[in-house]
Amino acid sequence: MNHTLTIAKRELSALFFSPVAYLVLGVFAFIATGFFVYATLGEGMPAELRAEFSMIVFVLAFVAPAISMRLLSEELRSGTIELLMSAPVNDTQVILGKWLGAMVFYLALLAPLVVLAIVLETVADPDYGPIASGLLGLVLIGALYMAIGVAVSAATDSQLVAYLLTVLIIGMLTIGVSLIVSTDWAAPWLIDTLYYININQQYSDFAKGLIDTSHFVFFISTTALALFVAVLILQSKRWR
Amino acid sequence: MTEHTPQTTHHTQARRRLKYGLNVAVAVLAAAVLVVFVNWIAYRHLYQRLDLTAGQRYSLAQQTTQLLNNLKGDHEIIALMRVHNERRERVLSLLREYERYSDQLTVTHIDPNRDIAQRDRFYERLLDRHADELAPVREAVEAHGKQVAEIFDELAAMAAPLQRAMEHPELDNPQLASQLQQLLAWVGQSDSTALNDSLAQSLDAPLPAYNEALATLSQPLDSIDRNLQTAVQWFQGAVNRQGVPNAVKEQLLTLAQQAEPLRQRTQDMLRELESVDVPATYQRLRRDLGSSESVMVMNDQRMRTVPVSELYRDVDPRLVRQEGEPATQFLTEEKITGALLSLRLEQPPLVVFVYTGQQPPLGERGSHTQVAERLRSANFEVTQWNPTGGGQPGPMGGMQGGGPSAPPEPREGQRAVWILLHARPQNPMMAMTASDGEQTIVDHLNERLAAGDSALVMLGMDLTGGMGGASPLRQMVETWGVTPLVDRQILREVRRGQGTPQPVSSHIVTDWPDALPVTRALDGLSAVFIESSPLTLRNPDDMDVEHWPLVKLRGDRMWAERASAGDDNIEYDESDAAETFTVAVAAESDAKRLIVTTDPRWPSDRLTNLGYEGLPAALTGVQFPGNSELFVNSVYWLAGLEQMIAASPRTQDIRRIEAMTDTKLIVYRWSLLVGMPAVVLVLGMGVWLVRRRG
Repeated sequence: MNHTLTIAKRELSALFFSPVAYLVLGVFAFIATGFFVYATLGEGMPAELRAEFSMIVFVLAFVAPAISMRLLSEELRSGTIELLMSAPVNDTQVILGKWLGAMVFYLALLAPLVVLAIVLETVADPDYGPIASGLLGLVLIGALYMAIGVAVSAATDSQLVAYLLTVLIIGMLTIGVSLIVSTDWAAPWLIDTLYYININQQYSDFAKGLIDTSHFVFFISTTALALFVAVLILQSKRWR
Repeated sequence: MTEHTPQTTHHTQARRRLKYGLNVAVAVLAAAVLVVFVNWIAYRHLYQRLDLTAGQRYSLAQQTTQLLNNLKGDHEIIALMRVHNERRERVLSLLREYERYSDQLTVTHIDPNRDIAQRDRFYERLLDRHADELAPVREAVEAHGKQVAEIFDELAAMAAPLQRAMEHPELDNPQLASQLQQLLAWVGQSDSTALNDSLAQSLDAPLPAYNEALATLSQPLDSIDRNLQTAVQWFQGAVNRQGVPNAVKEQLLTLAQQAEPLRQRTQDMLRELESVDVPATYQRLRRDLGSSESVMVMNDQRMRTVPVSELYRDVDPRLVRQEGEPATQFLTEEKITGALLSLRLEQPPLVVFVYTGQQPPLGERGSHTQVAERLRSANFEVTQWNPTGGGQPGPMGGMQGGGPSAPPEPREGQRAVWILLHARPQNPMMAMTASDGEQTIVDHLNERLAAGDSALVMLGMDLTGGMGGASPLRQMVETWGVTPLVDRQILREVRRGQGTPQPVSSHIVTDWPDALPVTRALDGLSAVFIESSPLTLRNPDDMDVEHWPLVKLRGDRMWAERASAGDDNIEYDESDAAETFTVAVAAESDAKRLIVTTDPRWPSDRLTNLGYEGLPAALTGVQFPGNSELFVNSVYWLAGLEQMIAASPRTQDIRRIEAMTDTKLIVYRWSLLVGMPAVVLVLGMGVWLVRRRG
């Protein structure tokens, strides 16, 4: 566990000491705030962040890969992966450490949303249940996206390729399945299955204020699966 | 010892990669299967839901969960609807919550556009439920279909003799020749192919359209009857005409003898078809399923259909603008729970519309058909009674007179609700008298109230000021501590055009008392009252009565005018003014219930079917949905079924941002838009500077 935390701290330092990270954080804060002030902050508008969260879920599909793209691909490109793999840490610890570091950065990314909730408190009496569950849902989505990003990053030494592949996979699990579900040719069992794996669909209850164990299990299990795949990909570097 | 050539090494590495690669693939597959399995278990068996919303917006109320926990026998909810927007998703999500709380309940969703086979199987099940009732109808339709085809054949057989008669060389009567030609053209069109096709189309539908099939049979028979009657007259008349040879006369007389029994058969068939009754429950089912998507709640014996459009309600736009309330109220739980409750009714209540005027409330030209149909769809029995006997609907839909009729009798254990409609006199200056049937009604009503029934009394203005003597109905109502001041009309002053004040008698109500569920459930709805008189309430000495005002007219410049019809000089009168007038009240005494209203028109079709801009509601939506809703809720309460009243939806708990000045809004916007990214960028700058120094 110590090794995992050490790697996580190192990764976090690398992220927070990079000016580019603050650019990402700043842009995200601007987008989130912009949407809030023009779509939510107005007299008589519902005192909730549901629309905000729905927009964030869409934006995350492009922002999360930007965080995860360099986690391992940078190491692969620069050759420092050899050092990492010869260190007394196993591949699982490496993956978990990288992922945890990215997750902490991701949580910092979500911090403006907490500020927006506080701002809402000054102008209304919001219902905090949906806000809390919405934030929890965003954390779970971020965890899944980061896990996918880590796996893809482990597979290529090009950050650009890692970014694009991650966006593609996330797009397939959101917009892609929605498009297939809306067609006529898909069989009912396929539609039900695709409906279930649609990440936006899984998130929607969180935004409403509902914490559903099946959605929770979905995010946890798919995150674990993606991390497992990442470990296998990293392990394959040894024998390829 | 094997030599390691480059080729051998390469081969060995390739094998090793393949081995490890396969290993990885198997591991990934196994992990994926495990994930699927875990998700399946979580979805099917370990499903738990935590509702964090204030007001538990997405959870079932305690009343519902108690009902579900105590459900006896198998129940089903079938949602026959597309799920293509958030509203529909929410409906389906809530229905699945019902399933969670009861093992006796299953919820099935059928998309009528996508799950066509499943939909058709469901329709077959519905048909099976009505099999016993529909069997005689189907037999009658099929049997008469064959007989009509035979009649067509017999008509076609008349063509040859008609042709011969018409073409007889000695026929010298142009009029007869023309008539024969018309008849020949008509029998020439007698072909049962189109009829059979139309019948097949009606009967082969997933839910056969028996009414259409009966009409398909009746229409040609009716035409045949009339045409044969004309033909027989012509044939018999030909005997006395000039220019008609004897051979032709004989032929036509023979045809007349053939046509007469054919006509008799046709008339017999028409009478038989008229007596075929397609069950009202089946007709309602076809109508509900055909016109809109529905949710069906059923057990082995009974079924309720709730149109999807009733599962949420769009609030009066005027209220949304004024109070910032939500535009849509979600009523799914109230409607579905109400439907489940109604299935438990062993004896559905009897609702009797009592009237003495010429226009009946029910039937083809009824005045209260909309509210009656709503009660029927809630499994109530609805009928009407005219104690004076006049104005009874006839078999052909017109009016017919008749002697006094006996009142409908509720069955053993059945509760009845008596709706007393006000009869406007033909001449408003002539007072209503007891001979109009009022005493009969009051006597009967007192008897039924003592037996446990309830009543909704709708009084109207008496513009003569009571010249016709004391009204037995008003006297009865006064024993309940309710005094209707029917010699007055509540008016309000409005300013139109040049600012000229004008009195108007219509009042829109949007504010409802919440003491009783009858009106608590009307939150967000508007109703209109157009001819109201004030009510006063008191505690009678000899009766322990509790009163709840149901409708209060509120406003400025409102007064109760003592005036007769046609008085043009009506002006605002401060001495008769008040800010609030009560025009409807619910009363209860010793478990007996009574509702009194002093507007006779409020639940009539004229107002319950009124759309916007004076157009029908079918085109624009109902402008005053509160009228119909108040009536139905009143009947539920009177029948002791207040648990079926749709409670005020919990979605009212929508929190909104308070009023903000423009300055405050601008400050917030710019502070956040600039401030938040600026803080982040300043932090980044700081980090960069620290690194640079380091």
